[in-house]
Amino acid sequence: MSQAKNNNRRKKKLPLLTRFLLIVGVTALCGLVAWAYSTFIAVPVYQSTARLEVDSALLEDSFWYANNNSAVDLCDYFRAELEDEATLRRAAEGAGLTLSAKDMAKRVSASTYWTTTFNLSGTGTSPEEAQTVANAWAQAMNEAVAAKAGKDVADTTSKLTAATLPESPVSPNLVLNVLIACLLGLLVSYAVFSQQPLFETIVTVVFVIFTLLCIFPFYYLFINTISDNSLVSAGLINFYPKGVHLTNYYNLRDVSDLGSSVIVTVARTILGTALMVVCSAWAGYLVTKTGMWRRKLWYRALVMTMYFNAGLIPWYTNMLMLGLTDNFLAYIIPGMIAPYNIILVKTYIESIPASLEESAIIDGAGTGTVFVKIIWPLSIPILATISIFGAVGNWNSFQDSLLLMTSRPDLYTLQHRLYTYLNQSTNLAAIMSSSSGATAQNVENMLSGKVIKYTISMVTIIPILLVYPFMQRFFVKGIMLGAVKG
Amino acid sequence: MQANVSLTRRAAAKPKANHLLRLNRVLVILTGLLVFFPQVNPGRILAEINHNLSLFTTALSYSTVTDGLKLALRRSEITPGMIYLLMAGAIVMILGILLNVAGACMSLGNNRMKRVGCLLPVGGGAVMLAGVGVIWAAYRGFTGVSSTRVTPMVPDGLWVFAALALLITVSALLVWLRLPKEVEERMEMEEKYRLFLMFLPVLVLTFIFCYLPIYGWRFAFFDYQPDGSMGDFMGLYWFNLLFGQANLSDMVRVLRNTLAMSGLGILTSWFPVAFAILLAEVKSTKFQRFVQTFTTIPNFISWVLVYSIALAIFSTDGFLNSFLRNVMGVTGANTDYLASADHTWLKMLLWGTWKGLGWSAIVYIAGISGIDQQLYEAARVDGANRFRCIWHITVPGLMPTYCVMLLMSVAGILSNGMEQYLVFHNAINSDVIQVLDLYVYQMFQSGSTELSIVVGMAKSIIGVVLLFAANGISKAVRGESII
Repeated sequence: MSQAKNNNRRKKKLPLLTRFLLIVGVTALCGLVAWAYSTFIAVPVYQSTARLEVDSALLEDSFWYANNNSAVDLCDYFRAELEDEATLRRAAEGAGLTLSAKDMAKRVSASTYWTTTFNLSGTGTSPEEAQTVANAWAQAMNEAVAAKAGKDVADTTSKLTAATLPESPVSPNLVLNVLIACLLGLLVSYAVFSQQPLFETIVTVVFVIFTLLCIFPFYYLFINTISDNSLVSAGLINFYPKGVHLTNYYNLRDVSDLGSSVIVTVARTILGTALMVVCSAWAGYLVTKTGMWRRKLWYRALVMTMYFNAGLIPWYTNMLMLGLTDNFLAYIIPGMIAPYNIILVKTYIESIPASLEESAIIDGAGTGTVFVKIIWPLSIPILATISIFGAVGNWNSFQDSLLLMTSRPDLYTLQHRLYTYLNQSTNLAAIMSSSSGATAQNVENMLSGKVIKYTISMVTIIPILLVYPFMQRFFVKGIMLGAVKG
Repeated sequence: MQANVSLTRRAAAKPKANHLLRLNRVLVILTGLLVFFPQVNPGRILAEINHNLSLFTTALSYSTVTDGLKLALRRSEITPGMIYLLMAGAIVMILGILLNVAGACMSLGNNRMKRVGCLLPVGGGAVMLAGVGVIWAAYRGFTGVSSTRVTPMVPDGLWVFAALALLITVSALLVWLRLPKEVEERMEMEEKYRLFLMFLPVLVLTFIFCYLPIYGWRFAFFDYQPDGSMGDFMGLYWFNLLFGQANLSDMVRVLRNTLAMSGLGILTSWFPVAFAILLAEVKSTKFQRFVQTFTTIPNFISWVLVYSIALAIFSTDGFLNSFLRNVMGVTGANTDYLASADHTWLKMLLWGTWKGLGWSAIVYIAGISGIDQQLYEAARVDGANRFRCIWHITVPGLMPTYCVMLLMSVAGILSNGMEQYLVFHNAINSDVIQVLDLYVYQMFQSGSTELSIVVGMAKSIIGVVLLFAANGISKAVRGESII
């Protein structure tokens, strides 16, 4: 019966060429629709950018600065003026447009370079309009900045670089639109016309999409760190890198405090993992010894710590009591006991034939000798697994650094350092130690805050991405052993 | 053989020695513990020395000891030599305690070993007393200083440790006197005790880092001083404050967030199972391996990095906005998707799924490959199609593992962990993202340490109760325990 059914189904299949043509046709059709949309329906938008280098004397003269004598980011101080209704209205008037402040806000966008320069972009449906909008906004902004400091524009040395006429529209991006439409068309038409079993096709497509979702963010971060920085700041790097260079990574050496974090993290990863592995192997071996006094009780006490903890703050007060705050040892000593890893090792050692150990004992070997000469070499696979787990855990550690190293920023782990950088709303370029000599002339060569964040993130991710493909089988082995708990 | 029997008989005839030995061991363990407690630090001979300094730290860290004495040192009113004398006293004391510990360990051996083990504390007690003497000398040195910046005092701990040293010495001596004189040829120890002593360092570390924090629960009933020491007894004041009018609405809100997000997690806990089953349905093993490799990567990056990625994709100048603006041509696309309180629970669930789905599925993928292929063949011969095979063979095969995972997540319903919510937390979504763990941390940050400990304590206790309940259910239903 089923044989006949199968034959029937096979007969219904379209010829290969027809299927191929259908797929190509649908893909092309999708591309055509996207092309038509971009050319005829979507309104082309032009973008133009003016640059305003703010006079740093303005800040020092301001009332606020006089009362809070502390370092402050110049651009950040004037950032509120960007979205200010009066500024926007004045900009709209200056551009000769009858737009409300709210509509005007949609036309403009700003980014900052270092602490002193605003890049003010305006958009419009024609090149001229974009230029006018950008210039009017920059002019209004210049006046607003001066007004905030209580001065007249003429008295300041703020430098205004006028916007140029854009050559081509920034959007819609014809090529990308067509590409994406073609890709979608290909996926759908393949699903429909490839005549694989429908179920399998759908499942495959779903998995491909989920896998892409898992990879794309890493790829996106990466292409943004190696692309031309001005394009990155304008948000023009979306799917492929442009103007590839590696200076961002090189420039990281100027980021203050990053070096110490890298050293601390590498040190704790190596030391912490090594000690944890030795301890887990030793403990895991001993708990297999049924002859130990009250073995069950101790083992239960050890396993219980996986499910019970006194809480975050009692843990902190305990560390405070032990003198392990603001202390590098806090990264290493508590991590030596890892109950889960001990269980993994125990389970593994139990699978080693007991006769090996027994014959060694008959030959006169003591517990220590048996451990070093027999157990350790035989359990290398599981030790590799737990050391990978441990190393990743140490590399990713964040919470202990956050709680314990409050007055020792030089002991922050890399993740903690990254967290503080990510939370700095101010222009991150300020953390660059060489920022003082920066001028707008070489702005293209400099890192904006966004790029620094991306690059540091990449530096933190890369070791894991590099190790991961080689170590995946160890991870899988670990979790499978863990499922068979001891 | 003969001698052995008579020895055992004689030891049994003297139960008092056993009691004394037990007392001695308890005293040694107590002394060893007190080394870490700042309340009884014998080295705190100046009121300026940190309240929260234990004997252990006194012996090791010059910078911590002199934390409150910097000015006096700079003015040369006291000399570093005096501090070194104090630290030397602490080190001597710890050496004495180590001798005692060694003696207590040896008292687990045979009679010969026991006798040596009982003599060690005699020496250990003497060394400890010498340490007390050195610290006393340091104290005398400080009393000679005429400065308002140092106020010498005799800490209670000094007397406590001196008394303990005496008691240990005396009890060890008494045990030694009562031990039989005849000894074996060699020092030996029973296998079970030897193994135990080898395991002891692991147990000590476990105790110090996993069970000793319970001592921190005392702040649920006492005042917490900013330097970590204990203030006045407060009774149930903190509990009343927590469940009083001012904090109750906070608690309700936080509990709602916690239960909602854990609940969503439990509701979607079958995702990994579905993932594994569907992946197994794809014929190509290459494709399977490809998917498995790349979907597990997010599990191995920290939440901080996930947040970094979230910023890169969803912030004002992130991928989504620039894609909409520059590719799709939507003007004014500059929404900061992270700075919004809409659908926060769902967003957190999605981030959790993105990070963990591939990894959680591995255990089920392994489970599927462990199912006997003959079952499928037999089912197919009987005319079962793909879906019937999944439903009647694969799903029941994965059920036991899934049940364990589900029960564990029910037991951990109050513990969502802190990192994810901490990194995604901001002023706008604060109300809907605060889970218990984050709430505890933020209360601690804002100075309400006692309240945060009360909450953490309640959470821990409820967690254990839930775990045992889940275990009980598992035992009753499946006849197998999960812990």
